[in-house]
Amino acid sequence: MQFNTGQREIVLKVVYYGPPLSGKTSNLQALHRALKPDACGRLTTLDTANDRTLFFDVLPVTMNTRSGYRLKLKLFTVPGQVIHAATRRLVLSGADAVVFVADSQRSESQNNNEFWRGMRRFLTENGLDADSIPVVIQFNKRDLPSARSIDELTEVARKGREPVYPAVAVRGEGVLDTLYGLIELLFVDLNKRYHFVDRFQITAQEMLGAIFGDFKGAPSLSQRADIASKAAARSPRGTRP
Amino acid sequence: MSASSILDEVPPLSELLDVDGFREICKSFGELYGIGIKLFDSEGGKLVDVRAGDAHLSSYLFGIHETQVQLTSLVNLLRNQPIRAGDPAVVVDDFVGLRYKIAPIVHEGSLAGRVIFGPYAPGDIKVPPELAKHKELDLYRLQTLLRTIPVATEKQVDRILAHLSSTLDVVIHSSYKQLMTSRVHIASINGAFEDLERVNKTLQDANGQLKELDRLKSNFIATVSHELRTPLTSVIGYSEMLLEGMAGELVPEQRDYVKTILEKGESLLGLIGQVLDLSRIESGNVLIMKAESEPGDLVKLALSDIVPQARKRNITLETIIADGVKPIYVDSDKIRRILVNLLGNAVKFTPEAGKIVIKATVEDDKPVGSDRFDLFEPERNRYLRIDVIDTGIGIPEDKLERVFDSFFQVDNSSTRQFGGTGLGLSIARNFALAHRGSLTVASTVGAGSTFTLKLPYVAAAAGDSVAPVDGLGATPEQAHTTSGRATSGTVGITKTATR
Repeated sequence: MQFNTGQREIVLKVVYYGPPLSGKTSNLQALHRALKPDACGRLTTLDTANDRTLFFDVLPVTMNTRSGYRLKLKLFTVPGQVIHAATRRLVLSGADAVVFVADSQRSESQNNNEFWRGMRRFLTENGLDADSIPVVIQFNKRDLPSARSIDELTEVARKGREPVYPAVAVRGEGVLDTLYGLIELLFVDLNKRYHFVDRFQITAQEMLGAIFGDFKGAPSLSQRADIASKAAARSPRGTRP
Repeated sequence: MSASSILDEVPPLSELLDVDGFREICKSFGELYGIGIKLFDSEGGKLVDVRAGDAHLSSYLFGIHETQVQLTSLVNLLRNQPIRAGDPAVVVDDFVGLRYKIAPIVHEGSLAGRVIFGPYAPGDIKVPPELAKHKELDLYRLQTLLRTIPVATEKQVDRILAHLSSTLDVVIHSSYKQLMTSRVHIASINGAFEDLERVNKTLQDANGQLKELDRLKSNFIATVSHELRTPLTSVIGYSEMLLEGMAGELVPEQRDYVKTILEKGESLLGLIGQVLDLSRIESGNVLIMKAESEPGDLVKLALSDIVPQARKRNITLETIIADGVKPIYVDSDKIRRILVNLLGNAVKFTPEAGKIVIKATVEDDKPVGSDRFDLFEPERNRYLRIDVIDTGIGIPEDKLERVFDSFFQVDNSSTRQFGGTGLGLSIARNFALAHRGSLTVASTVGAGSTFTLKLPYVAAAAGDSVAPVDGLGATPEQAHTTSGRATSGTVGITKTATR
């Protein structure tokens, strides 16, 4: 988090990290289309070659809060290609939260794992705590026939602490839910570390409302599974409601 | 600038803008509409000041003390009027009834500076009556000067400002992209370079450890081999004494047993000798003692070792010494051992009643890289070439080069038909390389193999130089210039001397 006293501005950095071609830029493009136009700035793509990101994309999302602070959320992507490891580490520096964009295709499992490990290593190398920084996982490309099943993803969600969201970024599906879920997590973390509500009088509801308007994010896969199991337990003789 | 601040720090407007270029744009706006434009960064620093029709009016007002004070406070107001990113343009009317508009310059949602548009007349203006108290002020002249200021409606000014803001936005955005691209590029290259340096350091450390381990291994082998040889010499010596009857006559069965002990002892001594040779090669302690030798004699000497085994298996040995083969400066003992090894292998792998040819010729090689477009005829290297051609079982193509690796056996199974340690060819090639020559093989499975030893003809004095033992499979030309891997994966230096 950066705090600009003169301009009463708070800058938060969110990084979309993931293996090559998993849809990080597609996420930002979908957000740029979907978010409230007065909140969303210009989507900047730094250097591309053959439609691939060479450095990063950045999308600023800004809002004025009731307490007079200007809150700016800077959404970055990293370049996915293997040779750009140094740039990925650079972009991750100073991150407040991370969206890990995984490729749902079965064949990409190893790539997902390698980039996951790489992300954790780079976070640590940047002096960030890979175990406590807010992270959500988005399993993108749900529309492909070779994608893993929702049950498998729910299993992944159950194993880890990170909320998991399914998405089809090119169609904008699940993109807002992912960011919504991340900001909820981020807010809890900011409050824990900086006493955000007391110090700046900014609430999660205000922040979410300023960015998403009336949109309410869908629950993550593990939340959905919990809801389903509680509902099943409540219904008589274990039948589905 | 730290790595994290490269992306997070928003550069000031003066860095984002090509100020000179943007001044030209503002000037053209000013000339087009006749209205002045000023640009300040978020810290209040003036970047652009384009005056249009108000130059005479300003000079006049600045020349009178009372209006000078009012003018100064107007400038301060315009510069410091609170404004936030996203706010609409602020209207400021001055003390003579002219108007200014202040619009925020926004970059990535943050206030980057302000643009001040004006003065312009919002309509037909008259000199405010309160100015009459300024005695020095000529109201008639002021009214005349006010008429030179362009009149613009709010709608017109808003359109001009919107146009200017969008132009500014595009210029700032493209400059920002360029600036960030170059910053990230440099930072990424630095990061990648640091990574490479780290990996290089790790590799260097690992390489140093491996070299040390290799040296320890060679020392160990040399010591153990030496320690094994000493008692073995006694075993062989006493066996010979027993066979010679120095301890009394042996019965036939005892003689057979002692003979077996002697044979196996000598075989073991040969093996230890080979291991010692290899460790000497690896540690670079092989001394090449060169003297003029007759190639025919070298071949004859080697053949004498092989003839009994060949006869036993009814194998024909043919020797061809071509015309023009001249004496060569080599270490005859090392060359004899190479040839004995090649011939021994040939006999071992050739079926009964087969044929082995040993052929010595002279060959000229063109230096590497020379071609028909060379200006001068390149100097040719002259070699003694000795081919050992057998009609044996041959070597599969994928194993051709590996036969020169230490301890390599083409048939590595526990039930293999042919014995051997897998050291002979490795040692032979290293001896060839130590002469700056080469040892290569060509083979067809089922038809036989041809091992080719090439030794350069060099003047006696040239043989005094230190020759590297390196470059498995290196051509003679490469052996002169490169320092690659030796058979065992290490590099050794062989001292050569002329006898």
